[in-house]
Amino acid sequence: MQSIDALIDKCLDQTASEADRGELELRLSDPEARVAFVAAQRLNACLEAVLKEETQVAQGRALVQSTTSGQIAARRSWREFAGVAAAILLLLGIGSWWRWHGDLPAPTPTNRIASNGTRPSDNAAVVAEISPAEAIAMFGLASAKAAK
Amino acid sequence: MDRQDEFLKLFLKHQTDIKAFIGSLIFDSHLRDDVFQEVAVTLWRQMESYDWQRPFGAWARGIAAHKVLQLREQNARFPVAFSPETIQAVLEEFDRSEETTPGKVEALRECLRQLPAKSRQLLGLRYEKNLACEQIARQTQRTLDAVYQALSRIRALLEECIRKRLSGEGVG
Repeated sequence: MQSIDALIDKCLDQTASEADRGELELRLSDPEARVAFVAAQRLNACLEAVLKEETQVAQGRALVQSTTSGQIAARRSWREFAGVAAAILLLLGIGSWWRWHGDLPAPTPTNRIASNGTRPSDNAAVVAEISPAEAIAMFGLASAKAAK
Repeated sequence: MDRQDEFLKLFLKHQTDIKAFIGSLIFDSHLRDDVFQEVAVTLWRQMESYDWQRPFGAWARGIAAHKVLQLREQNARFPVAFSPETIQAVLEEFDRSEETTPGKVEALRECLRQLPAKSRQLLGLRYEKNLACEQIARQTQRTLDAVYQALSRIRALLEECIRKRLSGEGVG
């Protein structure tokens, strides 16, 4: 004789033969077998509900975790981007400061020509290139001319 | 809390038991779910006729039994497992053994945690993945009879564990 449990399993799997179904129905005329049948059906429904719920909860947790780690990664990559941008801006700032407040570049020659035919920037270049001794001598010459 | 909220609360409390009752009459899982949905809608529509002094489970199962018999009347090939007499006898047994003990589901959860991993895996294949015993036998490389026996033994262990937990024996 098959157990009520096995008969239920066969019926649930749609593998029960006509004889199995007939046997189950016949057995259910016995009150004790009905008690076992109803208890088995209740346990089956409870197991299905609890196990499926646990799976859903586990899936939900996994989803929350992946979303949270995604947010953390997004926040981290945003911070990294901001850090790189700040470093670039700092370098540009230092470069600009160096350009405008540090060593001034030599004057660039101009195309404008003075009335005497010379270019002012040519003189500037000459001044920039004279030595200190020459500068003193020129200063002395200029002073003598002024005294006259 | 208004009547609709109370009704919904009662329905949620009894839905697994209503599913168990419908499942005991219809063995096809998809059809069983469809009938459960129809029954849920009927219960909602008939809320006004519910006598709040009566047990909700018995009222809902009565409507479910009526729905199943009605479906069979409409379609002679509708796959109901039993004759109307057996359905009535099963209904009476469900009503007689209506579980009023709270905490059975929680006890079941605890008992499931105590099961060996192999048993838990077998239950997972059967109830979470809805695999047939033949598929489980192939997947776990057992014979079909061995699967029937293993499932039967695990369910007996769970029944015993739940009974002990609810009666306060050997809880730990």
